[in-house]
Amino acid sequence: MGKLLKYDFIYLKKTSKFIIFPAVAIIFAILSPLTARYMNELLKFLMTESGPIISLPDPTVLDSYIQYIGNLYEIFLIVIIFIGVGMFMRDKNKGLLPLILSKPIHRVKYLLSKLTSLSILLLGTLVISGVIFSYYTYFLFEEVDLLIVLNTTLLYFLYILFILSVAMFLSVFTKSYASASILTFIIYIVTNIIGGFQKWGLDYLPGRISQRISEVVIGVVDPQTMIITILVTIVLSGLLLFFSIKKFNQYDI
Amino acid sequence: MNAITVKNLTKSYQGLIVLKNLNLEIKKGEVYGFIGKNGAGKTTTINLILSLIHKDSGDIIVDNELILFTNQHYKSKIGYVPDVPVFPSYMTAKDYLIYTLEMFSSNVNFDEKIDEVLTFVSLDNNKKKISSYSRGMKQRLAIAQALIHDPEILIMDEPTSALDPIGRADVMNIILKLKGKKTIFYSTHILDDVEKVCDRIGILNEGELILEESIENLQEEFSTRNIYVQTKNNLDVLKEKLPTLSSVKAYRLEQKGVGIKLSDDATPNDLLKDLVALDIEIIEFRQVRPSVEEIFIKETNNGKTS
Repeated sequence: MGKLLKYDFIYLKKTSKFIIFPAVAIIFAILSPLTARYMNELLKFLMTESGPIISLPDPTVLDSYIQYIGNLYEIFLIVIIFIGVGMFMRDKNKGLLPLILSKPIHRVKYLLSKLTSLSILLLGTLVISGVIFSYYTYFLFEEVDLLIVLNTTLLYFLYILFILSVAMFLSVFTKSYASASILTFIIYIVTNIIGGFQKWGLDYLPGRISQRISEVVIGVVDPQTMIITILVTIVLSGLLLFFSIKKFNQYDI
Repeated sequence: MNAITVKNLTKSYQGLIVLKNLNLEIKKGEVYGFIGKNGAGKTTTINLILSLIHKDSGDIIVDNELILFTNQHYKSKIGYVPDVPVFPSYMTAKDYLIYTLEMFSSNVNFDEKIDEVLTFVSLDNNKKKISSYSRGMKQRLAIAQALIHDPEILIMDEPTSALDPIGRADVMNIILKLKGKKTIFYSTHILDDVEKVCDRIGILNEGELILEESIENLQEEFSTRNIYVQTKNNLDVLKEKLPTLSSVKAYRLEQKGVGIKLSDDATPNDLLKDLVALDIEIIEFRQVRPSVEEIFIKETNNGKTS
């Protein structure tokens, strides 16, 4: 699979994904602590003298963490969805598959290579942006808990893996880029909505990871529910991967 | 010895049978023309040989190895040229050939082999990205990537169908250069090309192989009892004398000569003797052989010539 990975990385490099992902994440890594630190000053500046007087609490380092995670959860994930689906569907939609699979390339390895290369790029991106975020947070708030940054990064990466598994599954099962990306986006939204319900076991689903990240940030982690959410997310991602591979093996090109 | 053997191969799509118990034997070293109308099942057969699609039943044997769908090893023996090849737009020809060699785990000297193959297909010294290539150049690159790992078998799926006459001639010249060096399984519906390069042909019609023979034997088998004669004599003389000959059933004056249909029990020799006896000075005397196109039309229309 090493050779396939090499060429998937070349694809990511040549099509600027190596720049896009880190650029977007680094922008958030810099802007999040800045926004958290100076939001109050900005609001005070915008308030008129005659307007109502609102008392705002002093910003803390927790605001920086929450701002960063919030940004990654929204805009960055949407970028991942649309680029991820594109990567999985490109060969199929552009007619590259017949020539690729006429070579001695195993279909399972082909699919796993795409998922692995994108995951490695995103993990690297998160590590770089996490380091930059930690530096700026320390610079502006004079404190940073690296363990919190590490734990939230890993939890967020787990959620990315789940979304990439959804994207791969839908790319294999649907025929067009538009349908696969829109359906992945809808599942992302629905997953987050379901994650808001705290009954019937729904709070163990992957959509609950954002809540678990907040628990890590404010230091009220319940180890049991955390482990169950992580396991459920891993199992669901694994199942999506299994069915993607099964379908792709049956696929007539 | 067969390079490819196909036994009772059947494939259907959503209940529609596109290949019905197809049997093929492609001998090592020959150029086999696989011809048929659009939708006859040519590409389906090729896709099945390459394990790009699943068969319903039947066996495919490549170089004495029974092919299973998950088997990848046998693909090292095959080079594949699709009808409309698509390459990653960000690569150059050299990039793509390096990629191909790596995927085939080739141990050759990459630079030497790439130079050799690019020269062979006249794409040497081309450093442009593939996205800027013409269709003909892309087709030549498709041939280069099919040859780069030195396979025993070359499978070409209508390689000239999307090309202009110059591109088509380039590709045909490459195939002619490969003739005798590789086993070539060549699918097409351009029948002029078949006559130029193929040793044997198989005609596929609605998923069934309706004819398989060498071109020479086919022309012999389908030869009409027509003789073309060109003489020094005035055509009016021929027009006057031919109806009197017992060996002539019918005739048609053409621009320079005359096309003669032999009577049922006459041989070309009888006609020649009759013409000589009439003091007709013959410049050309030849049996009219049917083209592959005529045979194809006759066979696929169930004997109703258009």
